[in-house]
Amino acid sequence: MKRKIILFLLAFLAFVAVYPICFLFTGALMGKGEWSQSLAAMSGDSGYVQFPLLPLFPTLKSYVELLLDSPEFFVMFWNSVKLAGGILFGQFLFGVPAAWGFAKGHFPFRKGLFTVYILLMMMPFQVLMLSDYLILDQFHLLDTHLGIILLSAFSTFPVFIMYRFFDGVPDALIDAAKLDGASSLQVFLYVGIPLGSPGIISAMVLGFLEYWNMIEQPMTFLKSKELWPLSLYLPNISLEEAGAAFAASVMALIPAIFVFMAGQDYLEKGIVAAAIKE
Amino acid sequence: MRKGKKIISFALTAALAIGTLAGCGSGKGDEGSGEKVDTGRENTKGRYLEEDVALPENTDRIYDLVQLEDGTMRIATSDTDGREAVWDLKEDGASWEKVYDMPQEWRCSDSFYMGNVTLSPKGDAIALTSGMLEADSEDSEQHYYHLDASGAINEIPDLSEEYTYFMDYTRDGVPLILRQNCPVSALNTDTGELTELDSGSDIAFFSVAGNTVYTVTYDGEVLSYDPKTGDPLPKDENLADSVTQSGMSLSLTNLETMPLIFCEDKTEENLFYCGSAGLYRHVKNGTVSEMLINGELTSLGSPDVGVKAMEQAEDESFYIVGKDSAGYKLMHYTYSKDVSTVPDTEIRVYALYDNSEIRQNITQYQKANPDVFVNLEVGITEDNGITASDALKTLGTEIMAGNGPDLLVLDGMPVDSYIEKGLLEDVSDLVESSEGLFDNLISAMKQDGKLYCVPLRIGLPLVEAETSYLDKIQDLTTLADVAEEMKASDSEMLVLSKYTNGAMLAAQLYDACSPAWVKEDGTVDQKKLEEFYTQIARIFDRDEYDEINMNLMGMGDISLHDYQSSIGGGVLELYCDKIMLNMGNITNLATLSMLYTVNQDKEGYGFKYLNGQAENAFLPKIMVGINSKSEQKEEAGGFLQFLLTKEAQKADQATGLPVQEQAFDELCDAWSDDGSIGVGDANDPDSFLQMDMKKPDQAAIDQLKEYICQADTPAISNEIIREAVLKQADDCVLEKITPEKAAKEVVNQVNLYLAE
Amino acid sequence: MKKRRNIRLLLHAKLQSFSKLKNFRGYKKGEWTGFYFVLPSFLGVIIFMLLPFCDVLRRSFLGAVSGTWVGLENYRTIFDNTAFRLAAGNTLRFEMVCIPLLLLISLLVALVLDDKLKCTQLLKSCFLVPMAIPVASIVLLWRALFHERGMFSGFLHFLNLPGEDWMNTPWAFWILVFSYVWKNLGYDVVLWMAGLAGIPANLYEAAQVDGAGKWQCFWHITLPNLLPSLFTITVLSILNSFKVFREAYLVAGNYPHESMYLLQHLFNNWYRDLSMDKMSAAAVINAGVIFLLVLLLKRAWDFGER
Repeated sequence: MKRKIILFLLAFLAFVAVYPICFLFTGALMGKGEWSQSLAAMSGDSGYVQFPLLPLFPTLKSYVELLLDSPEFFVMFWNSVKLAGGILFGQFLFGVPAAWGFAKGHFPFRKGLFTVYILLMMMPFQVLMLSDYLILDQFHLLDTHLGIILLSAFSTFPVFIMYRFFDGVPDALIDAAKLDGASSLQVFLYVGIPLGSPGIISAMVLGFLEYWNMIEQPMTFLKSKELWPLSLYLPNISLEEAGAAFAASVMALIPAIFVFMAGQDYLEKGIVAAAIKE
Repeated sequence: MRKGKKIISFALTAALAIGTLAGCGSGKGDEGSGEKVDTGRENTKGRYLEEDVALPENTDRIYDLVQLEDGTMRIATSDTDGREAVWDLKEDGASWEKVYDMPQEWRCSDSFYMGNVTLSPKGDAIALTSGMLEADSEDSEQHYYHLDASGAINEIPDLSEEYTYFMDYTRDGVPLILRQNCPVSALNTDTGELTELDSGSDIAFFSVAGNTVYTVTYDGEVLSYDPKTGDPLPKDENLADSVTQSGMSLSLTNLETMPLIFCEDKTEENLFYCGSAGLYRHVKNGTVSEMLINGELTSLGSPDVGVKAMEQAEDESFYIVGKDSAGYKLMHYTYSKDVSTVPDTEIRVYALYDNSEIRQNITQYQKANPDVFVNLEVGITEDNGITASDALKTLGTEIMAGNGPDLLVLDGMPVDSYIEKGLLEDVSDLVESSEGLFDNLISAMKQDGKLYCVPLRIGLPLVEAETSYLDKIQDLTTLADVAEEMKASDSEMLVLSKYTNGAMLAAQLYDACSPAWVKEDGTVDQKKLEEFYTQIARIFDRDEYDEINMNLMGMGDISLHDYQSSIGGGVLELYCDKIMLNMGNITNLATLSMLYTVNQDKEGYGFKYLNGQAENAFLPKIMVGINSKSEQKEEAGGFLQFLLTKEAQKADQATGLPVQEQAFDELCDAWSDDGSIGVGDANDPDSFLQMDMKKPDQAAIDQLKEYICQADTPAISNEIIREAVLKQADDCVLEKITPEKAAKEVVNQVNLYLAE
Repeated sequence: MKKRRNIRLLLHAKLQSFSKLKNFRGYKKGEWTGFYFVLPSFLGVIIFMLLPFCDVLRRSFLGAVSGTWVGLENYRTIFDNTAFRLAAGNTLRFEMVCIPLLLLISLLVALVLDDKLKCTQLLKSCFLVPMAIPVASIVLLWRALFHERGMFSGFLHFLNLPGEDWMNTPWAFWILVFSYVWKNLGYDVVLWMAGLAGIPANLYEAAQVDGAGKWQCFWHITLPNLLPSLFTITVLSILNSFKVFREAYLVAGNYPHESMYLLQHLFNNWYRDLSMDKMSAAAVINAGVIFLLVLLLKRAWDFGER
């Protein structure tokens, strides 16, 4: 009995967690009349917002309008893909070796440097905004995708996550490989990366979720509208255009969910693997 | 579970891919399928320079421009006495030879007027007149006349029933007309017979280039037709794309000018099209469009300019008939090899919101100074939808990095903060040397003897009501007293418009009261604010309030300020006896006309300066300042001084009253009599209100001028305070919260801001 | 699991040769090798992170636009500044409330969820999903929920309780907390579960044989073994708590209700008004506090590792 109550509570919590997605999907399928009616209470004086779980008159109109009538949506979509992809690639290129170096290296000041990395990870964006702007300006990277990609490609966050996984790779294995005549690089490529792959993938998945939705950097550093990513399309939709907001949110959500679903197994495997200490 | 997940993720990917591909199809169209729009800026030298061609004396209107077969430029005009004539441009390019005066046979009655004239390259012409044969006939009719090369006039039998909007001739001499809801048709001048082209009936306007007819539909599509056969020509996608890419608006705003016109050169290989973005050359059926004349650098880009006709002369220069707020003009663009393509000096101006007066002024300035390019950057545009806060952050970043603009339009910006940080230059010397400014306004804007921002226009708070009530209104409290008196009176009329909600009422009274709320140390006086709320609650007619869904969402948007706080909004209702009390800001002379008309037509009504909690307040608008970090302060200063001259101040796009005295006088003189306004609800025929405006007499003009000279207290232009105050107004007037609580809320919100 | 077993076999085979080299200090030669791996990242970090931070540090001693040296003036100003005190207080309060709250709830959920149950996978996915939702999409929902006449008020109305414009009351703070917990619950649950799975089962078996009850098992076995996870999870949770600013900003704008006014709001507004001096000084202090916090946590982690 107790078990059932607990399960029920959990199910309720899970529902609460998932509800917003239902909200978005439902809203995207509603015709303008329906959602403006549901949300009408917000602009009027009486009554309450009543948002049904399922649309009464499902229609694909919002999607159609978004996908076929707003060409800028696609440009922004691919911009998001470009930015997220570019950043993740950069993080892979620079962050993975760095995490390996921290985990398995023995150079002086290793711990101190790593602490600095953690510290830098915590900086809120506003603080560094102007200084970043100045630096990008120096390199003439303003108003380009490359500028934003470079700024985030060196983020220390993935280093932190991957560090823990690389730390879990048994030293004995590395020694063994070295005995076989492998150079440090080969050890990294053939032992480190495969064994740490769950960690790498976790970092990539988390990174994707982060950069797919980033708002401040593109807004500050990108002036031309044609370079804007999808995340900037959304904040500006007012109550009247809620239909477009719903559909756009769902479209923005899908890649994130897809990446997330594909990566979840690895995510968990990796977490589990790392947590098991020899 | 895993299998399920795999299926789901696969399905999602498929959906995504399909969706993306679908979009790609339409998206690509936007890219232009390989279309290149070459701005022609690769050469650093060479530009078309604009000059105005002197027109025949007293020319009032130009109907058409055509290039005759021998290369002569011919125009059809009417002068200020109402006489029409046709002229040819002489060899010198500066004087005109009259070909003929138009015979007056077409004036069938006094009410007939010349609607339009179109000239043929062969020398003949068609005139279109409108009028009523008898004084009491219901509809006006249109008559068509054909004039031959010598000016002999012949009426064409009228076979069309619909109203004709536009006319044009092909190079072969075939006249074409466009009637309402009909396709473009060729007119037989002997029989009056109309042959319709296969063009469909939703054409907004058309233009003929050489022997091809180009039409633009209401949807903005550019299509072409062969007038001989009437068949549509294959759609030139590249042309359509480059028109779209140039960004020019294709919507018809009046019947005298067109958004886009076409013409061809003699070789028939090059098509030229011209609109607000400039003049472009398009190789027919080619892929390239080249911008020859940049709208931004010439009159073409000015918001008040429309074009009517265009021809390319044999020397490859262009003649364009245009119309601006001053009247018709003939512009001549000649290519100068030695002038740099882009002017050497660039002055950067930044404004948070778009502003037509500044755009007009930029065009004027650039014309007078061809070596200067004034680049206006607008922070918040219709299609980028970012918040003011974000735009300001971006602006701030640029300024700090040294990339800031030279001149700032400070409306909507934290001016006090900028002054405190030393961001703005002291321009008191520059302004002192300007002539004819209303000194009281300038002194009012000074801080510690220094002037950091200059308002280019102002608004004044006024109140309008029956004189017996009007005399009792001395300040905010008495205004509320009067309102209550009105409510108590038996009149059928409402006190305020039923479309006014609390926020709008507060907005109307805001500028007359806000100066009283700010204390010496910059904080907000809660007591005074409380008084404000108490009084507006008294003024508000709660019983009559019609709960209409008034979305307050655009509150922070300056472009909505005027709409909320204008006195013009309520004049019509006052005039038609719907309401008793009207107040708000006057920001343009058309409003004065409305107020004057009310006084004239209704007995015992008047208007006067509104003193709320503050006296003699005014609303500074289009405030400009110079960035102290700019490297072109001198050039920016030159532009600033220009903005204060009479010529610049005469630009009137209804943002505010001019601050230069002579400009004010001349604008008042120029204000004409015609015009009537009407407003109504499409669903409710009874709600239609109308008023014929009359030009204000000297007394009214003097009264307004006196008020301008009286103004000495600038209203607070701090957006944060304004938004906070308006937000509480609704609840307060509906008595959902007490004035005390409302004031407290505002103070709380503002204090956060002030504490920073 | 298979992979590990293979590796174990491999290891066994190699151990023999390895034991001969137990005292081999071959690492001296490759001492700097590790560093070369870090180098590219480090270079980028210097250019794109350390340099900007040093610039911020520099600006904290200068006037905003003029660039003149003002020494510690800015620091003194912000300590006197009421807005700063409010924002710092709120931020601190937020951290102290939501981090423990999140850790606790996620730990409880992790304890209850058992990998053996069939629906666990589904539940985990449900909890993790909020992380994927773009912030701007949530904003609309938050507005619909917490508006004066939103769904939440409607629900209360159903219970005959009055509704309010929640975002403008001290409840706004709790809305923010709720938003944060909702978003990060899943991730922390997974991390806890991983940590829990890492505790060898035989420890529990041994304890039970000794007659330990469930509570004692938890207190003396589970918790101590979870300390390393605690460090990671805490650091990550703090990091994520900064991101809650985005939601707050999109829903309530620049000047939200007092209880929601965080340090980042302040930074944002100072930036907009070009008060670079104050912003830089506050940022340096912010960084300093976080630094101390990280150091403390690291101590705890290292301590727990032993």
